[in-house]
Amino acid sequence: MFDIFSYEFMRRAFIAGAIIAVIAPLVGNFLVLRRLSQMGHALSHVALAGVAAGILAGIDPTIGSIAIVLLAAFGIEGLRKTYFQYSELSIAIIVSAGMAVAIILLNFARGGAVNVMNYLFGSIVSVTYTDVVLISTLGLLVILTIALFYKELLYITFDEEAATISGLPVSAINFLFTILVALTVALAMRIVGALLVSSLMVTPSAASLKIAQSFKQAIIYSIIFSFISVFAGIILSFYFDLSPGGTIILISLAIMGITSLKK
Amino acid sequence: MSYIEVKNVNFAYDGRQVLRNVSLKIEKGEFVGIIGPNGSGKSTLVKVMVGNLVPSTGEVLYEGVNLQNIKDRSFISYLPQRSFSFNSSFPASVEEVVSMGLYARKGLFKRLSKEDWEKVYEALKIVDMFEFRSRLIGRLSGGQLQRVFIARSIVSEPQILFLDEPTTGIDAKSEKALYELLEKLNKERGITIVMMTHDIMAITNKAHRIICMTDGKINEKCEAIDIEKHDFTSFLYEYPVKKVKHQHNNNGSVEHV
Repeated sequence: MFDIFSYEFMRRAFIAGAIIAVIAPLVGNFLVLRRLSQMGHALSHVALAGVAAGILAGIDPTIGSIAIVLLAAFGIEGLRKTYFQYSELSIAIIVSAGMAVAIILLNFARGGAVNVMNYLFGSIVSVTYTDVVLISTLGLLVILTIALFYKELLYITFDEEAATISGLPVSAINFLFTILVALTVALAMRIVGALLVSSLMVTPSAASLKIAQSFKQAIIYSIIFSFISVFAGIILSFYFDLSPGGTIILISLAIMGITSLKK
Repeated sequence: MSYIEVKNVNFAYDGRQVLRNVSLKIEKGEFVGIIGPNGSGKSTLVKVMVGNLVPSTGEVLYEGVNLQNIKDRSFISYLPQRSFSFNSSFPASVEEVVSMGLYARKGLFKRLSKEDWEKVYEALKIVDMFEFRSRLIGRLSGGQLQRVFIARSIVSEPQILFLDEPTTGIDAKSEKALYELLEKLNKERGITIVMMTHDIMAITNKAHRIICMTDGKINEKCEAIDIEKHDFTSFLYEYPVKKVKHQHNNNGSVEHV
């Protein structure tokens, strides 16, 4: 059973997976409750453009995707203000822009096609030492930031108008939150893939909503569900040669199915 | 010097004038009702008074100091109308929602202390919702929900409480309980209360003074509760009413004909 841990690449995958299992639902809970669950989906498409840009520029694709996703996250916020009566339009525009740029850049980066597939569908065998360092460092930064601003993020998520009137620095915290979402998407994409990254942010949260009796419980349950999904997904994908992203999300959906049975 | 003074305030949304040279004064400890038809500018006025909107011209003074120059506004509490139409599936417990009222005063990076939680429980006891403290907010009735939001508004011990249409969507029993609670906060805790409402019949019984708004202006014709002189309800809402004098408290009220 434990021979899985004898492989260096699996140890790397578990470390990266553990961090992602925490940050994806942690950020995802706030996204879902702010009715912004599609934002993760849009940013993951943009992240692909970042991966292609990274390959072309000869830098680490994860770093490339972090840079591009950060830019896009602020693009969404800007577009939401411009089209405030059609706020979902900003998501559609960014998805289109991300995919268009990704397709053109990928055309130039044909040599890195295999690498791109790893980012598209997720991979556990190709998680590098650099990825582990990046995911651990930035992931811990995301966790620490949310811990520090937990009460402010909760109030803004629950009632932004009242939070503003109470004197909380809502614009600054929203700005910070956008950075956290962008980082989470770029990091989680390495394991679950661009196509499914938003699922790992949304489904554990959706599962926890059915059983949580407080916001704190919702956060804790979603992290537990995410942990189970990521670890079981990595193990099953190793032994049965499955796509890790797809396996993780199917387990996560199964958990959501079970919790949704609760009336 | 008045406790609150609104001086010659004008405000426009996208070029549409919503408040027109509004001036009014409110004294400490008053319970003031602001009434007026939809679109009369009541909600905009309260947002200007709490500092959520900055007037195009004019100023709002608290004890003579311009609100724009007051950084710590924790003495003001505001319960927006929209609070009652929140996401009912939000997974927050009653005590979590009430504790939010302390966040701004607590400051960044600081967790709530044991004393803070004592304040949360005290606020819940005042509004008679202590036993529901662990319940999910979405599992409360409209009246209970409103009490929880009032607890959130008073947990930071404000001196002034603004409420925008707090009786919307609640039954008559909950409405009566709400007015009793507001009277208690006003009389026993000395909180100045300013309430925007359509609920003319109840507010004329409870408030010390009524201010009427029509078309973005203060309607001077319906000052105070002296409805014996001014048929302000008919004037404001353009439907016939009759005036009623209450025996028990000598207050006036109005009823539909």
